[in-house]
Amino acid sequence: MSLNIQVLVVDDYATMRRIIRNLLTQIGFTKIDEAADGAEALAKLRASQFGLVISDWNMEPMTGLQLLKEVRADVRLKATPFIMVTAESKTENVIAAKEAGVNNYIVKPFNADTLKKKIESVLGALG
Amino acid sequence: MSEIIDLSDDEFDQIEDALLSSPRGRAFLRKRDRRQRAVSLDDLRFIVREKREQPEVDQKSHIKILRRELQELSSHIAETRREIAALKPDDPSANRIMRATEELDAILQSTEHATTEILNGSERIQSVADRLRREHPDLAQILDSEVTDIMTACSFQDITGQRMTKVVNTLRYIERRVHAMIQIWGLEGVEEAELSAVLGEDKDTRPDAELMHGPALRGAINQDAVDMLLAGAAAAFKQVDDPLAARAVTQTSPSPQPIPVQHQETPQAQAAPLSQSAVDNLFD
Repeated sequence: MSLNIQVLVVDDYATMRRIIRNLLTQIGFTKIDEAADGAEALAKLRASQFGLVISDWNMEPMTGLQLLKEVRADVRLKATPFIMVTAESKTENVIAAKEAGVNNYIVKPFNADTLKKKIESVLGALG
Repeated sequence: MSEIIDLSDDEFDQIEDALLSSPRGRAFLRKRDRRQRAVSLDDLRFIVREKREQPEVDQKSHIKILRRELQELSSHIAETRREIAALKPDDPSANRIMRATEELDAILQSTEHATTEILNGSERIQSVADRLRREHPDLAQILDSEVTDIMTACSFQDITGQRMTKVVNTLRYIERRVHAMIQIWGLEGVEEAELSAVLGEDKDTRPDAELMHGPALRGAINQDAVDMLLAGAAAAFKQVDDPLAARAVTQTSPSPQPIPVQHQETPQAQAAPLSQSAVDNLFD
């Protein structure tokens, strides 16, 4: 999978978006966009072409899970790879995300290696 | 309907004598006596059992116990009223729940500010690494790796922030419930003297109690302002309303951000969190 795809980072904490953006840059991604909640992310996804969504769970007004469901319900967006990055690591959360169609799930706190491995498991070997 | 009549002792004796004079009469009397004994024994057993299960209570001691219980209940209710009133005194600045919420808000802002500073530093190191990359690629690689570790470690701020937000929301919920209780109990005008007994118990009497409240919150003055005051610049500040507080806010903390509202979790949802490997197993 090419590192040339556009990645959307969704998190209500600007600091967290900055951390993930930096890690993605170090992995080699160059096209990175950000959104502060699910609603903003959905608008960006519908307006442009993204090859990967990395989203937090706890956001208002639209949570990461709601965003995932909206993406999967949208004919044009439903195939977009979606990784949840969240501190919500209770079994029911993971199962709910999986049932909604999440491609992978990263528990905070995480390291750069975990992020890279999960992205590769979703997109294939990066290069 | 036949009339019920009563027998005199003489009449009873006459009938009994008449019955005793014949074998059938005597047989009748023996059988009647046996039946009466059996019924009496049954009655006796029933009474004994009832007595055992429900011992007779002395009416006076019963009332005494009831009165004592009511007095204790009344005393507890009065104490609860005072406790609730003490939680929310008339002066909002002394409200303990509100104070605790503000302290946590301040921690959130401080950690976010500190994290931003750390990230800024990391990015500056990263730019140095970029400059070194051509001549010292190995050093640049080491710096990259260290910067990455610093950045990922900074994600603690997001996690602690979320946890603290939950605590803040819980405190706010308790505050609302306490306020509702105060309204229900009609405690808005509770006398100060009545509260002092309760407040006195919890008061921090240590000489440095005021110093133990942590860093200054919004509205307090910062070190620069203190230095200026000590240097005799206080007069200049009197020209505007509370300029020290305004400076303190702008100099010591980033722009205040509202705390994002988290999901309300039901008690059923309080399950143990999973590790990353346990999550991975769910996707295998």
